[in-house]
Amino acid sequence: MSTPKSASATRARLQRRRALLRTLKLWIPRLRFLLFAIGVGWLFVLPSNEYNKHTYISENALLPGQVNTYYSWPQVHEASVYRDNIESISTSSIERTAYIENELRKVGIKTETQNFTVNALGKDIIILITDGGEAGVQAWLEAYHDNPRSDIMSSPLFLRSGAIQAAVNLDLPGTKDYQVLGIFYEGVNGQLPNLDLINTIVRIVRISGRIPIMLHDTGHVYWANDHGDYYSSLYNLMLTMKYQALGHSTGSHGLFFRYKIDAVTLYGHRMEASHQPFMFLEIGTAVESTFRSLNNLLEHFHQSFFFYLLPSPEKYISIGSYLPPSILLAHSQSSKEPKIEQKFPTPSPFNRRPRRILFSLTVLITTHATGIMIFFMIKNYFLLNKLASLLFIQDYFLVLALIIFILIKVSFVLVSIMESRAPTKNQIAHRIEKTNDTNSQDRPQQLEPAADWIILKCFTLAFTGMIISCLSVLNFSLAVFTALIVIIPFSLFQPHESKAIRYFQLFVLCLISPPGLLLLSGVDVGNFLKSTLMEYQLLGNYIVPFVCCLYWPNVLAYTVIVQAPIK
Amino acid sequence: MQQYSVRELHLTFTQGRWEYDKWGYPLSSSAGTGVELWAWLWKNENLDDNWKSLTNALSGLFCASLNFIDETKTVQPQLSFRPEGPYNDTELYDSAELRTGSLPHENVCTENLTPWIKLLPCKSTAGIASLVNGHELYNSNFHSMSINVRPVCQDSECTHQQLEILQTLSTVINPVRNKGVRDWSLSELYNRKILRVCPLANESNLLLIIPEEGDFEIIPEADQVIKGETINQNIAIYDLKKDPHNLQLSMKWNETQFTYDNQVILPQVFAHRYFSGYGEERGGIKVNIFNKSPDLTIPIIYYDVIPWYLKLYLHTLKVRINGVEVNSKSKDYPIKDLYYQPAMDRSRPAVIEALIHLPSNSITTLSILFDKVFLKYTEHPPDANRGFDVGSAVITVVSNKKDNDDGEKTEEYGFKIESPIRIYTETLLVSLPTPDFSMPYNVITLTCTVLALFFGSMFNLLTRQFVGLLTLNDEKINEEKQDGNKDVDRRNEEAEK
Repeated sequence: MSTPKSASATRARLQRRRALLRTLKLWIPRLRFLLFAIGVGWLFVLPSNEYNKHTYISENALLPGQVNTYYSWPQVHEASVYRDNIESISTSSIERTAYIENELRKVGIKTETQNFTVNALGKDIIILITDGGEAGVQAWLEAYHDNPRSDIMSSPLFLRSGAIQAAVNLDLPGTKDYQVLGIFYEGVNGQLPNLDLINTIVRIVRISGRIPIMLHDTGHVYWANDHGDYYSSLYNLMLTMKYQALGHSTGSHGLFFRYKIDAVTLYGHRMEASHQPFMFLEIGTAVESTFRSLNNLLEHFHQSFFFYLLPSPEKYISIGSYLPPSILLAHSQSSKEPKIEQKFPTPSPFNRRPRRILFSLTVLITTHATGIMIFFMIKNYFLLNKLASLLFIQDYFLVLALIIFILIKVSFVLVSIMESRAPTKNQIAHRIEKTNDTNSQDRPQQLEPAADWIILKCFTLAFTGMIISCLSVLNFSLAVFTALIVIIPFSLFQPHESKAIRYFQLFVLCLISPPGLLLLSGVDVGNFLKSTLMEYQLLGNYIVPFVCCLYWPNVLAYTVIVQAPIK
Repeated sequence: MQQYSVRELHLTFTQGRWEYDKWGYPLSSSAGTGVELWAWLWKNENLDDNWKSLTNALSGLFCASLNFIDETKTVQPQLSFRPEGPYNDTELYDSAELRTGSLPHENVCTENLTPWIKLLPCKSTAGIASLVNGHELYNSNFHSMSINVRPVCQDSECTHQQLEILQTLSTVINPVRNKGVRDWSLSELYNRKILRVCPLANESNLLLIIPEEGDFEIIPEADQVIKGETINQNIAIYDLKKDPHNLQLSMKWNETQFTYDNQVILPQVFAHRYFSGYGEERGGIKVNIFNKSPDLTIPIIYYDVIPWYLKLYLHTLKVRINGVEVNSKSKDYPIKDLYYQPAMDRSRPAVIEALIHLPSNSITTLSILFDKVFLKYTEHPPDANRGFDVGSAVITVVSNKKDNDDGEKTEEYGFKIESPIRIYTETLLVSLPTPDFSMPYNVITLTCTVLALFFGSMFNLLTRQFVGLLTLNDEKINEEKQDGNKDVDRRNEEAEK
């Protein structure tokens, strides 16, 4: 307890504390660049072999590859006969369906959903053969769970089993041999299957020996105990992050995740004949072994990770390792706030510059409302396209024109309101005079209110930081990409004296706005919009609502900021 | 039975699912997956205690978890599970009460089979029972064993009654699965042989249901072949007492590869039940009841017990016939009588019992919605991520003609049981919101850290003695402040310029 005799010591301590705070205040703005640099650097450390761990089977019940398989040459022969028969049938989907249904019934499998009981103690296996790719799977899933939510009309389903534990989607195009087995695992909105499922399949394929594995279709082929070099790992990560950020499912397996079913797609790749080809025997054995492992499961997949990144098939980065960089990135933004405050004097806690929060909030609300409006326009894209065709305009042109019109209008209105609110030259001069006059110490100083853009910038930055932090838990890749795009412009840009710099800032903001990004990436805008919208409507991909309702409004708020008057 | 004043008792252990749309109706009574127990108990002041004691006694006797049938699982059905012995309506309801309970998650294994075998007069050493081999039994597609104890009349006036114990064992074995053809023999199916007939048995018969025509051969020839119940069916009867050759029975088909018939003959009434919706918050139960009869309206009783952790909403109960919703005020509304018992948290399940008239050649769909309860974390079982089992719904086909009370039914060679046809739907697996069980630890550590920080700083503030620091240096500090202000002002002015 401090006694009078230690007063000087206490004072020294207080002074030390003040000095420390001052240095901190001075350093925080620089610190954020440091944070940003560390965050980005950390991201590039992720793929290195030293940083990530070897995968392991977490669920003991799985026992991959420890069960005898019975799939052998007679079954291979049967499979080839079926394949030849299916090939010989005309391309008519109805005839093919009839043939498959008939053959399945002949071996005693209930058809419609093709339900097949293995034995009394085990689990049911459902064989699903679809036409029309992901829409077919989605239709079946919706019918199975009796929960129609998309616009797919499907006939009712009467054959069902219980709760589905896991799904393996076999995508083996053509009828020839394959050289590499590709594993696709990203689902809608960046959801991933439990790591145990992938590990089981990889382990089984390894035991069977002759099949090399590839993640996606990257071309980087892995054999047992092979983890590839840094660049292949980086490439794998980048691809995964791209799919995750777009919320794009890399195969039909991606649709199962919503129903709490872990799933992967196995894809047969045909490459240059550098590897020994594999066929029905190897695939059949691996699939049988996988299903026997799954049959051992007593509980739903829950032991292993749901959040991970795979640099190579047998290496993983857990959420604990990859989350820090994205949090660092997010915080390098929100730590901008104190700097703005620091720039202006705060002589005592009772004497602050008035901050007009309400107006800035209104601006943010307006930009978000605009975003939602744009979202509804894009949602009705197909409807508007019809209108466009009536007016003889190119497909997406009408939508684009409408959106740009709205954006310009909104930002123009907001900027002009800000201009009208800003103090005129005379008022400023008057105020300075007043401040100089009043030399009295006894009453608190009446300071001019902070400029609107400062408050708006504070809010926008804090809001963006919050979005990125929240998103990094839901969809890490999307959070990282958003952060990388947004951080530098957002932290540097502010209204500037020079017209040229203002226009440059505006130009960069246009580039990082969604249409600008689309143009930069060089994709076919019409097709991209169409497929993304299809994914939104059929599969519930949330990239469109995210971009329209959360990302775009913040960029829009920034276009207002850079055009705002300085005072 | 006497000790717990039990009038009638039915206990069934089942593993697997009877596939009605593939196998037709079971020949002997079977039940939904797991264990099912129902009993009529004589009314007295300690009826509930008796029921509890009965479940505990049976639990010990059959090495099963029957003692887990507590009040949260016990139900008193109002329409289903009528007695199978002779009874008189008014007398019955005055003097006895029904209790049922089921454990859908219970695994049936040899420890349940052994006590069952011990009840037989010759155990498994002689007679048909010697075929009972745990290894083969538990490798089958379906098996069900039951014990039914009921009173039977001794004379035509039914003044004297006697207890009858009926033990049944059903298994479904598919030789095609292993061999690709339908050939079978008793010793091959069960990996055992019948060496002798139980000397205590009055009768020991083997019955084979065989198609009327077909390219097959049965060795040896049957003693007697009679017409079966349905067309194209014969029943071959082998009296094991008469001819020891009958002990080695086998059947051969003249075929190299069996292919299943494309046309499946469906039974008249069957049902499928399933969950609708997804997610951990809410869901629904739907049941499709099929009536394949081309011209008959079939009355059935639908009985479903839903555990309390699924909160049903009765107002969401909807009926559809062939996909078209039927209004409850319409005269075609198939539910003629509905008994509903709302659930009580942690004390009793919800029960739906409905008398439904199934229109001919139709699919009647009942649907009801529910909310999933967030359980306390101690209420989860050790295998929490497996989910919770919901027992089978039971559909009882009500026979049109009133049963006579004499109990004297024409018994055809012992296996015909005059119980009404009961159809069991699938058991369901529901996943409730499951906490990550390593989470409580994380939460505890985190909360403790925060609390410690809070407590530390509060304690510091409360116990600290605040001393004014305005000493000689006050002036100095103020001057510093002023200088600072001026500096900033100067900077601002520069910025203006």
